[in-house]
Amino acid sequence: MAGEDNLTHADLERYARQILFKSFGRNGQKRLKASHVLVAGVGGLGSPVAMYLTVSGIGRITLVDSDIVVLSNLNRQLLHWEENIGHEKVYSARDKLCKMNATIQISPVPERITRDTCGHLLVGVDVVVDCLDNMSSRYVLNQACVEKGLPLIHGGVYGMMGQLTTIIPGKTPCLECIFPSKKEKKGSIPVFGPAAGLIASLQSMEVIKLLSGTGETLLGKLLYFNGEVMECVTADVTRNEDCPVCGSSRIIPGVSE
Amino acid sequence: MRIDVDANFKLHGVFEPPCHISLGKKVTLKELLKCLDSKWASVHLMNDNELGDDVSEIIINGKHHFSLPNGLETSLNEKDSVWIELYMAPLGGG
Repeated sequence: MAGEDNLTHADLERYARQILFKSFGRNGQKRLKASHVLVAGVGGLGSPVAMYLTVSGIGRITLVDSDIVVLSNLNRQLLHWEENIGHEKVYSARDKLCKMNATIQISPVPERITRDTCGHLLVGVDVVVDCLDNMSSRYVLNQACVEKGLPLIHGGVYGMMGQLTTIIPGKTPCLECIFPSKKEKKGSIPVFGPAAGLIASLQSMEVIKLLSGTGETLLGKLLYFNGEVMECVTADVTRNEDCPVCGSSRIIPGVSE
Repeated sequence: MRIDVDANFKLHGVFEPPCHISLGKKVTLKELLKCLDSKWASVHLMNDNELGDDVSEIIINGKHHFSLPNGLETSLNEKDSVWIELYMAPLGGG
């Protein structure tokens, strides 16, 4: 151990370039080490998110995904390689992440995000990162995070475009406030790897800032990037008081009228 | 003429409201929106002669555009204020 805090000498060396950042420092690193982040989805977004969080020194990371690796994943899902085709994504990811940083705890969970699984998955978690590949699962995760008061870093991509926002229940609009429409096109969504990588990097940055108390996060702001024309739009998003998930008239599970 | 424009969004380095839009002639709301639309690639304010899918609401001097008798054909006056609110469609991939 190194002195009065829980950072080892190896930690201080490994994370030196982060600790050098004045407003982050040792305290920021200690906070990351004491944190538990759940990464929902280990695909195009989840791979870089898990990689950056792993190497940044988050103490515990839970990876949740029920999919297996297929060939069409390999254009963007950096943690999955040709040799992993047919294997469960969470174990494929875990194996590489452990080699990037053996000092943190990585928990693979090969389950789907559902109303039933969210209950136990979110216990002890500090921040949830939405790296899912469809809106219906995102709404389920959003509702669970609102109910548990957990921060949710939302990210999504389409083609060369991507978006992200940081949701703090009770303080910012939730995903349902921002995107009340449940309409979603069926079938595969086009995604370029760099678009997913960019949004995932920004999601990781939001997690690090949120946990360490450094800088400003995208609270009440939706950042939208269009890589096809290289434009970046930031839109203010507001809470919907009538939101069925986080509004004042929401239906609280288990509480009857 | 000068129109005061504000919005719930900004395009970094391109459109950072609140700002003033200076135009060489008197224009309608539709012409203003088409003028702005032509400068941006990501945000679609107009779709031919209709409001684009990205637009949630337009407010001119405190009034919703649909409550104005001439709608998008409303003539704008010097120092009118126009509020543009976007709706960003969700991107579902991951």
